[in-house]
Amino acid sequence: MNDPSKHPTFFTKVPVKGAATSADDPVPPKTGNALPPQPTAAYVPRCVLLDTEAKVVSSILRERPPGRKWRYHPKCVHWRSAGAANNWAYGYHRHGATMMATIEKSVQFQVDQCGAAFGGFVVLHSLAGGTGSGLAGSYITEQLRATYPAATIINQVIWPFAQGEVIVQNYNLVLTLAKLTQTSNAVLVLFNDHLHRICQSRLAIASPSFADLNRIVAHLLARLLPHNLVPPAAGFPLITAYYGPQIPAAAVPFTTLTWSGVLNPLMQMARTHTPTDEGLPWDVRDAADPRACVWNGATVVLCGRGRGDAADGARAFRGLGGKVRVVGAREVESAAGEPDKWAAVVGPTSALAAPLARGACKTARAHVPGPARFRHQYARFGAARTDAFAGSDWCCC
Amino acid sequence: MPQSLVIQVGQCGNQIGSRFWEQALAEHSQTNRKAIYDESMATFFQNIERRGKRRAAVPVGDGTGQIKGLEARGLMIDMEEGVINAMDGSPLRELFTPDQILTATSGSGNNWAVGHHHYGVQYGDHLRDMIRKQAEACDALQSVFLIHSLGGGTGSGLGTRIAAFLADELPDVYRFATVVAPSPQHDDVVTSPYNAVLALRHLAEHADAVVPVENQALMDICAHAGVTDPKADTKPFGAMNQIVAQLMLNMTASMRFPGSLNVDINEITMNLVPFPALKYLLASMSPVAVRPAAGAPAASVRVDRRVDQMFTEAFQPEAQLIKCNPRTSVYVACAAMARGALQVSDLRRNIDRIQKQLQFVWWNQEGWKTGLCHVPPATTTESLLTLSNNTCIAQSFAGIKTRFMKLYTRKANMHHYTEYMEKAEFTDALASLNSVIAEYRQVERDPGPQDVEDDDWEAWARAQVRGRVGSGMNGV
Repeated sequence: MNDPSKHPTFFTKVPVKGAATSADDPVPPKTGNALPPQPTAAYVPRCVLLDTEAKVVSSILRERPPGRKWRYHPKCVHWRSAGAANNWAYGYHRHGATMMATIEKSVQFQVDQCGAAFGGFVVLHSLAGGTGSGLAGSYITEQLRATYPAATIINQVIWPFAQGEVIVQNYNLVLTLAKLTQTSNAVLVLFNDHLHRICQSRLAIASPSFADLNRIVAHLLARLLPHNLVPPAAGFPLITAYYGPQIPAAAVPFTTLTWSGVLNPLMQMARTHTPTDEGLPWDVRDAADPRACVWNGATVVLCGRGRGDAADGARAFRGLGGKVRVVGAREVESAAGEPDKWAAVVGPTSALAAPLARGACKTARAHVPGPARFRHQYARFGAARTDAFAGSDWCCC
Repeated sequence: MPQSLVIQVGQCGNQIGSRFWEQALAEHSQTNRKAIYDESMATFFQNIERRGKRRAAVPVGDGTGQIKGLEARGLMIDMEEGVINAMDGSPLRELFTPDQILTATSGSGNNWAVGHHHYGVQYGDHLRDMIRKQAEACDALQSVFLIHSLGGGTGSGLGTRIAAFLADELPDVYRFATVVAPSPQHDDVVTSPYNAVLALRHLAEHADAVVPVENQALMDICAHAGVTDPKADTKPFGAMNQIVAQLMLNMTASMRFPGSLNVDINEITMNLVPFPALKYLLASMSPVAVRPAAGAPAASVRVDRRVDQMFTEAFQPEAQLIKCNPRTSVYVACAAMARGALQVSDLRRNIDRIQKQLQFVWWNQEGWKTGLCHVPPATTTESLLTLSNNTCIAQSFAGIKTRFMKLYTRKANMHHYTEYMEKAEFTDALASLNSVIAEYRQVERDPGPQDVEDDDWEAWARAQVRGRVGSGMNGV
């Protein structure tokens, strides 16, 4: 998104004046505010940056790629230096209240910028660490829900690699999802394992970096967020998304796409919970197959040319189960280097059961006979025994 | 960015410490060529401007100010003068002001009780003041690293007393102890088993995590790398201390430098210490750079095979900084922290590969914590540090206990100790060590619940969620 003026959903034009830290700044000491004075009006993304440590946020602020016509609003960037120790309780109990007080005005400022068109919040965070899970996913989301009861809150969460990223990831994710089911309208779950596989097997990136994974997420979000992602049934807000085609940018000029070529594999990916169209189990033909995922409604998002064909292809998604909506499919020019047809399917699916069960299972079995593992770490920052149990109860009982 | 103090106690602690500061400066100078005092420098150093007799700390500010004069965030403590005086005139000595240094003249006579009870009481208030003063100079103090030996008198005795002071003065600050354990083969101190057992009890009480290293393991690594001391029959202390210093730098690299998967120091205890008593972390490093790579060719091509080899080596018994074999014991948890131009896929590939060769405790089958820091150490283009909580550490403790019992049953040298302390401290310390050994053994032997198969658990939990999605998700 190099031209912010074309994306009023995500960007606003504000006069950014003078010094970053002024006398009436609500920011307490220890919280950094790092942009040098920048006069004149500028496009700023409708976003607030938040972390409990400085490194990532400050490196984002230093990024100034040529051609970018927007910058983060200096008053909407907040951090602490203590970190959250991969500990949900640290993020929730220790950082929660003070950090919320810090970002309150920034959030209100951005909401005011939206005016009457304000729709809601998208909270981007991980499930494994302490900041993403305890602070952003649990505390901040809870507070946003309380302060803006009518807003739609969508949490885009990154599910950690199954094999090792953070040892206590299952505790953190169960505790977070337990909170999110009560506060969020839609929790869009994307899996690091899937993103990594897409990069390696489909995008021809031999050694994917986190930047490669993040690029997929960002691209997906940019296309999905303009549409209503809230699942039809209340009470179980977890959704996930599949998209296609997945082709390396270098191969785009040499690829001719048809809607059926995009949509047929996508449909099968959704049915069999496969992140790529490689090695799809084509023998799973209908919802009755025990290997097929049960869907409860889905949104099919189409981008690109060729409306008629697209509608035909999208009809096939009705086989997934529930009410299927088709959105997009406008006559839009795709950006240079991007495929001219693109589709995604997003919604609540039983595919989420397996990773959830695995996470809950890990947490649960760490509680079965014997002393509770890692509990002293959570108790150190005020998580009661009941917090952890509320989490695992939600998933297991 | 959070800050850390380094407190080096006793001869061993100060020798490792001086290597540490030397290498820390080397590491920062390779990334910070313009001598800017930035957040990263501020972790271990203060920026001090001197005008005549006035001394003022210059904060990081917007991270573009020049370095005026660096001072270490740390304390040098020894009850002899030799090691610290030997630093006079060296550039390292300038990192410390007189109020960061405490020395006495008569030493602790290899007696834990002298260090802990005699000097600990005599200098108690003074040490607390020194600690407080250093803490006040930080705006976000997060952790303290203690470096000392377990076998001597000053390091083990006074070092563990300082650990107690830290717990008291700075309860919210994480306390890491990097301790050098005596090894059976090359022990030149008769009373070292006493000192080690007495010290371990206090570390068990006051440290958040303990990273023990053994002289024998360090010597073997040096011998393997072809480093021997010019004076043939003494130990290559310089290189050995350098390894320990490197360990601490690698451990803190991710909190000082940027990376795509940061590991803050408090995440180490969070992930690796599942029970408060199991806090002993076995370290290994690969490659071990014991000499600066003088004239080493500039690495330009990234070779996957080299990265994979680095992982393989780090999990070999020879790479462990304690003489033990983690492969034949049970992993409670394991952290792999890489530095250099590695990507997440390098971690994935190698962990998938190595996981199969290791045995993890049943309730933590995927007990991996991973980190990626983009700034390599000063001497190599990439490096890997593993910190693992492995039950094999119980064998090392059992070895120390055996040597302790040899002396204890004969009451050998005991009167030197009872001059300063109650005899009951021996039994308390022994009980504490026994319980640590027992707890590790229990984890190792625990077969897990036999009645519920793993797959059953998962299938059952899956059915629960599937049912909920399928039935229209009517409430929670």
